[in-house]
Amino acid sequence: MKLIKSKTNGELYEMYDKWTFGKIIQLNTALPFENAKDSETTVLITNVDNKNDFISNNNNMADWTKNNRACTTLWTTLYAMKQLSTNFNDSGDLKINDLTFYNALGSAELRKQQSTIIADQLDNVFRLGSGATFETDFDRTKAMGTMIEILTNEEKQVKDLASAVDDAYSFWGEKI
Amino acid sequence: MKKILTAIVVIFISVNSAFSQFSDNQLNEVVETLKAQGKSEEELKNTVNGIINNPELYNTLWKNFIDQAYKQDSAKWMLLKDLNVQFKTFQTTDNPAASLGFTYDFNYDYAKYTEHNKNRISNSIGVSAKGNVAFRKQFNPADFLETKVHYHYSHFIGGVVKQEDTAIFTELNNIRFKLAGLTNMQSKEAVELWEQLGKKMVMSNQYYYGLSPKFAFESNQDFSQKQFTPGVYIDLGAKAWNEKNILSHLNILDYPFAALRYITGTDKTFTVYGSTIPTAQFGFDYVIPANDTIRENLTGNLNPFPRIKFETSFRTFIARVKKENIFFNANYRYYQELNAPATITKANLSAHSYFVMALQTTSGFYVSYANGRLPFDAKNDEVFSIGFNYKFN
Repeated sequence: MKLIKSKTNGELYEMYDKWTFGKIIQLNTALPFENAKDSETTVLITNVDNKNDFISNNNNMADWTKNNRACTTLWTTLYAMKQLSTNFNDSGDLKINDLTFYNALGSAELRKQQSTIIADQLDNVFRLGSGATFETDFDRTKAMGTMIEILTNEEKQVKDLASAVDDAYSFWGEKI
Repeated sequence: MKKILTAIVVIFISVNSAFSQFSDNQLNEVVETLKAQGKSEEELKNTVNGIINNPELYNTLWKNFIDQAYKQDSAKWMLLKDLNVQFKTFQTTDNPAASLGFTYDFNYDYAKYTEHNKNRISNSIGVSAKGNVAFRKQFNPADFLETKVHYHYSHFIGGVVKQEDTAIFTELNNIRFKLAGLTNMQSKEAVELWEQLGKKMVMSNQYYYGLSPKFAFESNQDFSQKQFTPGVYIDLGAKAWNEKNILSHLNILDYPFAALRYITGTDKTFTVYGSTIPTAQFGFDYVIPANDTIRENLTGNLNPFPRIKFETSFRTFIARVKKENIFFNANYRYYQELNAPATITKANLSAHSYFVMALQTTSGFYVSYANGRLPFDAKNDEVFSIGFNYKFN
């Protein structure tokens, strides 16, 4: 950590031979990018897409991190859909029954119906509104089925949904 | 009833030896503590009875049973993930005595989702079951079990405006990243970024309808009344994802909660959520009674009869207090026999309605109120409950 803190973002994330310096640390530890200062990080992410992609593609997918496009796209979409009202950091641990659509009083059929509507809208926003495509071995049936399975399980968390979404979709700019 | 409770405990414990040790130790510890305090045999009995009549004991046992079953053989117990069971105490306003029981709700289906041009379609087949079981039948406030097989066709329209400009996708990524770094979603910077996001990711109204032929079996919990109900159901849903759309403003159920959100500062402006427009299900059943002595006594026969059904659910967000989200939930079901015989109407059995609403928080605390009756219930019941909810898998 001392080593990471002593380096600037430029030193960590500019290309260092074949890998970024941050990536070299990541191979042995985890998520060095989390230590990046926000304002500078934004510039780097904005301007150097392949480094952001590089980091996103190599994250542990169970992690809820703003460097993962599945996480940020899912969170902003759920927020815009009024399904949650929390900031990014507080949203990963939210359970599915903390999303506005999940009515425990209704029958399982109506909950399934609601979950299907939410999953359909997520698929819409990801692909039509944000340029995502299905990953290899995924199609609409498999992606919808995966999301609905999580959305009907009140004990699952938003970060579980993010992980499933990350498996099913390739988000815009993720591929190097 | 004690025999039933004991049997349930034994079943759970026999499946789970680790828990057996845990529960034995816990129970022995309680008894030893009470003995050490000089409690009488009668007081010991009352305490142990209190423990075995507490639904939370069975919720814990059931959760442990599910966890262990998954660990031992997840494939064998795969269907359990689609089963919700909640043990609870039933108590009605006209009867001070309470009875332990449980609610179950199971839904499994296989679905295929396809898309053609702007429309998305799904086809599915499945089975579902739901109901309440009280260990003392006379205390069951909603004595109605339903099991059915069904085919379901559904159609989705709209939801988002397709973005053709790929440069927008990169801009959206950048906005999302900036937003994820902010902690206060009501700060000026956050509000501006959300506005930018909304302009570049344009959501439209989303409509949904479904058609579902089904064959169901309905009964009370001891099967003294039962009937088959083939029928057709229609599901309808609409979401106005853009709060400025006229459809959002038509969601009149959300108006009181929009006011609460505004008063508590949860929303900066009076905002009606078009995303909480209730979903609805309309059904037409052809009811074939198989065993119903009440009906037989009233009409002199068990002839089939047509019936319509309506169910709707509504849930909305009220406020966030510290780490707790507070939601309002409601569900309403209505059954009406068409052209019911005069004797059935006079006995007040031609129509049944059931309404339940609850305030619920993130941690599981809830306050609920239910009123009405379902088919096979002899009378209206009012049920109040307060407590904590657990989910088991």
